[in-house]
Amino acid sequence: MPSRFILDPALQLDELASYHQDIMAALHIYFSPSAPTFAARFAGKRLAEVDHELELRAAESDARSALVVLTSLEATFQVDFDFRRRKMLTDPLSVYFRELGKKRNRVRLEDILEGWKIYTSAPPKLISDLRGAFKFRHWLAHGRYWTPNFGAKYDFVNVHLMARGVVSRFLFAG
Amino acid sequence: MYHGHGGIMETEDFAMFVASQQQTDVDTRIFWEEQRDEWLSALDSLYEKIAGFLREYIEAGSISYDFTEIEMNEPEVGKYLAKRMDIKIGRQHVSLVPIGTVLVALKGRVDAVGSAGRGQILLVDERVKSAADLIKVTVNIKGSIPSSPPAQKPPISWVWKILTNALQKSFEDLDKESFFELVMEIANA
Repeated sequence: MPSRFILDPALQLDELASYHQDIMAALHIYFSPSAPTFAARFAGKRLAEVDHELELRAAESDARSALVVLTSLEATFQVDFDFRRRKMLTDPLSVYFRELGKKRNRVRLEDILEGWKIYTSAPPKLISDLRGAFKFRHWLAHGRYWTPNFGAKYDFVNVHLMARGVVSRFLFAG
Repeated sequence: MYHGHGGIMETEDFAMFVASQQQTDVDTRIFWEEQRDEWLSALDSLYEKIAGFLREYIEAGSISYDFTEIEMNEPEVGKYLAKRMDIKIGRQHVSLVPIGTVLVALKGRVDAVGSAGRGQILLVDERVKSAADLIKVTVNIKGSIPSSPPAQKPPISWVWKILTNALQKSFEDLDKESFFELVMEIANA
């Protein structure tokens, strides 16, 4: 049976890290006096105001990059779920996923993570961290209209590190 | 790059370096003091100009204004006092708040603050009509010698302009009409 989706999580994470680095470097150049557009863009601003704006842009870009890492990670879980369900694999996780798929049309990521927690040796701490990070992803993706109360700090670096840990320690199928 | 120990020569070089830095420090201080004085003088001119725009209303008693000295603190320039102009139009208040002179591409900025918003009055190079005029592009073609910059730039004449169209940053000459328009906008007229 051909694969419906083709994802290489590790490759995607490399590409996302590279993209994030480029964006940050470009931002810093754009906000530096050596940029040809510096005077035009920041005319009348104090240097402290320019620095503050750069901090805001950098924080926003960081959050956006973290969001994309998390959406990519979510896709990895969904593709794995789909593959296990369709391939009729007999390992406990695949069986659980098939049952889950019969009960619901749309399977929540939370249920997929619960399956990994119960039926695999994936580190429970990593699954717990993932749940927290996906709350952050949910908050970002839904327009940040409520004041979040995350138990941890989420930024691109720690989200990317966590994603790397997941990709290397979870045995995704397909 | 540091290349190891030297002798008397290095000591003399270091002494010259230290001496040259003293001179640079004095020059820098003088430069910023001049910059501050020019900015404060331009600020006085701005207030005079605006009082002129409002004269008939002031004489009729429908508009009044006064000044408050506020403490400024800018990098390089340090602490100094500058005047804020508070204009009273019936129940509306509009303040012209000096922001400073150590700014990107400009010599001074005053924020006009009303109950419905704020605008900017900027001390800009007279020739500059919009922010796009401030874009500097140099092209170096590989292998060719970069052309040297003109020997002497013509002196800049600084004039007060109003920032319009915050996104595109156009600078409109400050006159009675543009100032009244700004006041009405920020005072929710």
